[in-house]
Amino acid sequence: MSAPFFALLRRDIKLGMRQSGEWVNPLAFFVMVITLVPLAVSPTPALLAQVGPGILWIAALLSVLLAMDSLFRQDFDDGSLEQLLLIPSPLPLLVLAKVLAHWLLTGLSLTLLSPLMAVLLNLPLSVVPVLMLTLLMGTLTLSLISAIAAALTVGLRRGGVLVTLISLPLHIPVLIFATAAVQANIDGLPIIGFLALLAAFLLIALVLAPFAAAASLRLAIAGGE
Amino acid sequence: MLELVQLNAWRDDRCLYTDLSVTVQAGDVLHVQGANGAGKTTLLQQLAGLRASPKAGVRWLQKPAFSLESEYIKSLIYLGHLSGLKAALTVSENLKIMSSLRQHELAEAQIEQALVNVGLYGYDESPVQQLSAGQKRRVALARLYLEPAKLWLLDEPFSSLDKQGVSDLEQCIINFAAQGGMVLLTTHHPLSARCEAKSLNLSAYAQAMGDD
Repeated sequence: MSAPFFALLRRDIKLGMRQSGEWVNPLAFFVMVITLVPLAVSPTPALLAQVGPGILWIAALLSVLLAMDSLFRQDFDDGSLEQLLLIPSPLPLLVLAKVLAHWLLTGLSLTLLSPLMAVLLNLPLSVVPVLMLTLLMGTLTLSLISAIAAALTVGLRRGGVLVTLISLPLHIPVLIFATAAVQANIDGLPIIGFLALLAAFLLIALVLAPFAAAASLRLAIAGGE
Repeated sequence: MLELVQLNAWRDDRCLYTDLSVTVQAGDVLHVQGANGAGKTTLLQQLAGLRASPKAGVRWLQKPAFSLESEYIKSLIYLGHLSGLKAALTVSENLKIMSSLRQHELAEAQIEQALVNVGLYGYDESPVQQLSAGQKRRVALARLYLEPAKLWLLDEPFSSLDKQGVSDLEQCIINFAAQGGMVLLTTHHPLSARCEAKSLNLSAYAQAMGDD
């Protein structure tokens, strides 16, 4: 049962590597927003340290959204989505493989880049582990939630805006608790509650989102051509 | 044995076909015919499970085809209008991944043989995006030589093929049927008599206007 899961995971990572624009663009967007903030707002270190966690997370959220639109689009256009539905393996599992491959290229690389960005925003180094942990859990949650929206809009020619509109309200709790965790860590307050909530979001999304996205994909294929 | 039991399909308020009951035996080649928009593609998609069909409307080996533990999906190959190939991957990568997704491992030699069969010998390392439309169609058709199946659902398989390609594919269909395979295909290209194809004309199942 898991063989098609890994086959699809490998395929999507390979495809992503060959079409690097797909994931380098959102990453470049993330870096640009953060480097432009000190230029546009104020380079004062104290101010930057205060707004830093928020800016980092907003940039991360937007770049995940930017990347998600393309999750199923190419598969839909070249017909491989139809073939995925004909694989004798549960569709939610295959959706999970696709989201995971996509996240490894976008969310994970964004997380790995974040310590550098934290330095740019003058955040204390002690906060970096917590920041990375929230990004690790948060971006995967965001990817899973956006996958539902991407699946719903895959049959539409211009679904990009809709993906954002549908999934943004569901992203807000993640944003609130992730930035709160980083801020609390800077202020020396306990953060375990925030992290537990983020982990809960992730688990719920991990269990439910693949089913919702799979059902949406079936609808998109049945109605779309 | 594939049974279609009282299948019907609607597009908006228009009935494409209704009460369609046909039995396909092992070795049958069924040529689905009908005018543009008659529902040929819809029928093949219903049979592939890509489009909803009435409950128990499709039966495979005397059991409902789309039940949970059905062997049905494993035994069919569906080739639609779109090739399902990844443009950034090479020909052999595409074929390998397609089979491994269907839990069937291929050896290098098998792929080479299939590419010889579809007239693409030497193209195994070419990215699919560099191929012509007819060559892409041939890559998609190579799956017919590679993956084990009992039922082929082919939607316009002859499109963009040259004369040699058409006759090769006809031969391939004949061989498959001779081994007990079942084929449902749509095409506007006249099938040669050697295919011994039965015809299924969808216009016979269309509901007359104002009938209800």
